[in-house]
Amino acid sequence: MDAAELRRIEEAAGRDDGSHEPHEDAAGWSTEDHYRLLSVPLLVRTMHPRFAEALGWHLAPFRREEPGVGQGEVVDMWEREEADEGFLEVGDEAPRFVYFRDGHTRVASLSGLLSFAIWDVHAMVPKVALDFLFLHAGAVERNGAASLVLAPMDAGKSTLTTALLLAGFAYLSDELGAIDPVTTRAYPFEKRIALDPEALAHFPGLEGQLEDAGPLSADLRQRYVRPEDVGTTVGGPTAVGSVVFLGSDRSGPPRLTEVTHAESVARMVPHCFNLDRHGERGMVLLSRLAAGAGAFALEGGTPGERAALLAERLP
Amino acid sequence: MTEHAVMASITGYLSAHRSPAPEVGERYYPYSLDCGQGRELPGGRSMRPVGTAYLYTVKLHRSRSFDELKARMISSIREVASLRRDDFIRLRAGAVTTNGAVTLLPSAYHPQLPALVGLLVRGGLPYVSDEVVHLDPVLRVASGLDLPLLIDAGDLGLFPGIDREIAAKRRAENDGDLRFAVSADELGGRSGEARPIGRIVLPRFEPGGPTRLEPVSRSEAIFGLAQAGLNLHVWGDRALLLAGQIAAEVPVQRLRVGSLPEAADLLLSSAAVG
Repeated sequence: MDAAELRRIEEAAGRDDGSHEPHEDAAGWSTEDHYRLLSVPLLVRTMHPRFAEALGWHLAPFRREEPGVGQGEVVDMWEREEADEGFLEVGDEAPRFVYFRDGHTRVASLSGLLSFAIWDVHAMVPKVALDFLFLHAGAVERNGAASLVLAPMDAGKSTLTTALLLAGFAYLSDELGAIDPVTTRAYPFEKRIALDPEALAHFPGLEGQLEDAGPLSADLRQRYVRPEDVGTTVGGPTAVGSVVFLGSDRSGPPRLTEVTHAESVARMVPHCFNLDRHGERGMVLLSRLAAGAGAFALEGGTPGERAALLAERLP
Repeated sequence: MTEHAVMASITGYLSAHRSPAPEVGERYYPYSLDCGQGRELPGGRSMRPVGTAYLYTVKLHRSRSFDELKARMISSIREVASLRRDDFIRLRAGAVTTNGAVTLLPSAYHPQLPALVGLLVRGGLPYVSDEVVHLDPVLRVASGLDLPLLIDAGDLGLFPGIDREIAAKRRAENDGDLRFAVSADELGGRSGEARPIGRIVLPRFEPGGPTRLEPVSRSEAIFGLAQAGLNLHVWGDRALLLAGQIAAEVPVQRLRVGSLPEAADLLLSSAAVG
């Protein structure tokens, strides 16, 4: 029995968790695209070329021509023929399009599904990939040292990450610090950087550089930045040189204060996505990471000021 | 054998894993066993019951030999327990502990590997695994699943006192893929705990040939570990990096196995020396 066979057995047995089976309309895919997000293979099957093209733009950094080895995740997307009261309906337009992954279904307008798919595919990675310890962090690299910017959701990680890229750092991620258990290096998870439209005000001229207004994407609320839009590249796996805890106080000039190794471990724990899966070894890994990296708390300043201070002080 | 007796035997094999209550979010795999019903035939003869093992409602195996059914269930449980453990680098390897460290026996699939481990356990080395080893990438310790060995039917003769029933139909078919569950206790041994790797022995099974230990280069050691990798598609070059580090830290040898008992004796004597 391999993973695929076990999955077939599970699907045949059904699950008592309210999940749905793919709709009978779901046949004859017009597009089947393969991706690999870190170690997670992903197959996206759609009956809608515009959706495939739009999602393909967002997932382009992870695109693969071949499926590769291993049982991966599968996203199915199709257009349903008539209303089905069994589906959850969201979005403003007529919700006719269906998204199906891991036994769960979402029905929405085409642009609503694209927004959901971008979130779901990226959020799936730290849940599925067990070969990394994942920190909720922006991650950049310079001079062979990675810097992780840890903060809760909506605290400005992506904005600061963008500012750091403009300050000369290479890009690793705006969302995940993917720590390799073997080497303690941070691996790139080079998703498009997602910025709230208001954040663009911090970067004059950047909006004109963006190429995120392709099919369907123009309807999305968030704006998406590629490393090349800010004149930088994606870095490779890199030893972590510094960990920065982003504070909520944005008043006054930017202030960087040192954090002890022991405190940095304690402060990293709440930002771990999958520490429960790694248990003791996860704590050992965090300790190793902390031992090899400087740790700082960052308060105050605009994103540009914060980035300038970090560019000056970090390795 | 009654359903109760068969299930008692299987739950005995699983006793180390008994959980008082399901944890939130845990996925449980329902195994079940139907032992069937025997029939009395005219003339005082009887027809033995046919048992069936299931995972969910999917039939795993059907046989008149409950020893076969137990082995098939344990084999399936081992696969399910190991499949989604990509938090470890998984190796096809036997493992026992020697002097507080694991002696790892990485190998491509070979039906005689569990018997070699069984002979080492019978010889007094604590049992870690007969075929699947989990290597912790952070703590660098090797562990098994604490499940019985699955010894090939053809090798059971090496273990006097361990008798298993082969269904007459299977015996007639001479099916090569027939294994039986044997615990470390039944071998007169005991289970070992997760430990750092202290020695790597790469077995090469060459029945009838000479049995001897040979030195190997570090690159051969890495290649041997890579060949034994079960989830290299997940860990990629990071697994090779770890293999290289371990191969540089511990002695690595090749074991040519012409005879299983001789090979076990060789390892036991070299372990005693070590």
